[in-house]
Amino acid sequence: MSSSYFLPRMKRELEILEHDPPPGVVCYPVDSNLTRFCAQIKGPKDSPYEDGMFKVDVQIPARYPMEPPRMQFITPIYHPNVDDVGRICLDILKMPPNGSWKPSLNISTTLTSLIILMADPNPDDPLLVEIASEFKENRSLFLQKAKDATLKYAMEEKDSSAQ
Amino acid sequence: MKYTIIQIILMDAKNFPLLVPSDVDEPSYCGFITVKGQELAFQIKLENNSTGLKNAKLYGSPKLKRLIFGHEKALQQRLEQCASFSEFFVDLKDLLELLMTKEKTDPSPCENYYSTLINELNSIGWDKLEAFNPSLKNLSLKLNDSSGRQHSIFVSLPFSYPQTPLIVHAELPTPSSTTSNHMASLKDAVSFYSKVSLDKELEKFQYVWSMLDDIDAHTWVLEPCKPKRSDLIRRIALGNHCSLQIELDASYPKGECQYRLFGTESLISPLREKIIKNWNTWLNFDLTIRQNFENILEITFPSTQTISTSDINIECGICYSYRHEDSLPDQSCNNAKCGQPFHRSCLYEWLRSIPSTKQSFNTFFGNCPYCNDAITTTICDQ
Repeated sequence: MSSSYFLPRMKRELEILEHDPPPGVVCYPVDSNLTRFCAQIKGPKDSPYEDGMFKVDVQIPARYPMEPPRMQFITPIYHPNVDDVGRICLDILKMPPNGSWKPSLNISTTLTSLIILMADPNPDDPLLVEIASEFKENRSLFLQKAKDATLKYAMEEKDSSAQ
Repeated sequence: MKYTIIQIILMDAKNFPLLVPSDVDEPSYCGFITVKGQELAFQIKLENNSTGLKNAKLYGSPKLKRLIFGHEKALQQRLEQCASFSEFFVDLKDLLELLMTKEKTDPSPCENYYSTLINELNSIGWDKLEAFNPSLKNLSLKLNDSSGRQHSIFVSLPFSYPQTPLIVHAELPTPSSTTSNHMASLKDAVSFYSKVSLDKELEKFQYVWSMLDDIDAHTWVLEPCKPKRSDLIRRIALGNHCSLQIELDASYPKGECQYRLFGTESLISPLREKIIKNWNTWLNFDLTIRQNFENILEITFPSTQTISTSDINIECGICYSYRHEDSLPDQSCNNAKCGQPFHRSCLYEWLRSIPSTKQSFNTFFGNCPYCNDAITTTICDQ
C-alpha cells in the first residue's frame, strides 16, 4: 500500500519525465502502479560510453520520496562505480547519514546525476577496486576496456528498413 | 634593524638576487622579481621598529600592478601571514607566473581589428548580423537559402584578424560540410555560403529539411529541444509515455530511415507489429515521412501540448502537489532565498525518516531538503 504522498508526486514526476526529460534520457513506466520505470541513457559525449545506449532499471519504493529510488544498470557497463550486476555507488541513491538523498531530488535529477557519474567516474569511492585503480593508473587501458564493453553490450540494434 | 635587513637579503640572495635596501632610515627594499624572463620592479616597505612582515606594504611598477589587479587583497593578506620574505616571494612569484600565463592566452586584438570588422559589416549589411558576443570575437550571421529557410553561420575571429583568416562554420547535416572553413573576410564567408553552399551544394538537403520541418510543425518533438539544422534525429511523443525516434539520412533522404520505439513493452509491441505488417505500404513518396509513419502506425501523432505549468512555488516541495488530504502547504522554509512551501505532514514524514533530525517534545528540528537551512515542524495528528 503506497502512502498518500506517493501518487500525486509520481503523477508530477511522470509529467517532468515526459515533457522535460534530462537530455539524452528516455524514461517510461514499466508497470501500471508506477513502481517500476525503465530508463534508457545515451552514453555521454567524449566518454568511452559514447554511442552506447544503457538500460537502467528504476524501482520506486512505497515510501518514495522519503526514500531514494533504487537504480540498477541492466546493460553491462565497465565503470569503477558500477558492479558486475549493475549496482550503482552514488551518494544520492542512499539515505542519510551514509548518503545524501533528499526529497528535493527526483527521478529526473537523479538520472542526470547518473549521466554525470558516467562521464566523470569517482575512483575515490569505488565499487570495483580493480577498475578504480586502473582508471587512476592506466587511463588508456581503462578507456579501451570501457569502449570495448560499450561496443559489446550497449550497441542496441536500431530498427531500420527501406522507405 | 640594519642587521635584520642584511639577514633577509642574504637569505633571499639565492632566489631573489635583485633585492636591495633603498633607504637608510626606513626599512624598505627595492628590487626586481624575475618571472618568466621578465623583470618586474617593486618595493616593499616595512613598518618602523617591526622585524616581521606585519603591516608591510607592497608597491609595484605599472606592469606588476596591472598583473595583480583584482588580487590585491589576497596578496596583502598573504604578506601579513607570511613568516619570512622568502615565503612571500615564492608565493608572489607563483601568482605572477599564473597571471602571466593567463594573460598570454588572452591577448588584445590587432590594431585595425574593430575598424575592419565594422567596415565589413557595413558592406554585407547589418541586417545579416544575428548575434555577437561582447568582445566581438564570435558572431553569427543569418542567411536565407533558395526556399526561404533561414540558416545561421558562425564566425569566430582570431585576434590577429585581418592578418589571419577567420573561421566559419555552418550547421549542416553532413560531417564534411560542418567542418570549419577558413575565410579571408566576412564578405567572402557570406558569398561562399550564400552562393555555393546554400544554393547548390545544399540543394540536396532541402528534401530532408522539408521533412524535418513537417515533423516539427505537426508533432510533439521531445528531443532535441531546440533542433538545429544539422540535427537529423527527432524523438516525438506518441502519448502514454511512449515515443518514436526517427533518424533521417542526409545523403539518402528518400532511402533508409531509421526508427526506434521507446515505451512499455505492452504498448510498444502492437505498434511494432503494425510497422512490420504495413511497411510495404510505404510507397507513397508524395506524402511526408511523418504522414507515412502515421499511415503505418494507424495513428495521428499528438501535437504539442502545453504543460499545465502550475506554479511550482506554491506546491509542496515533497509531494509535488498543492492539495494533500485536504490540507494546503502550510509551512515554508524561513530562508528568504528559498521559501519552499511544504505540507506539515510531508515535512514531518521526511524529517522523521532521517537520523540527523532532533526532537524536543512534539517539535522536530532538521534541515530544509532544498536549501539545507534549519527548519522545524510539529508532529501532526494523522
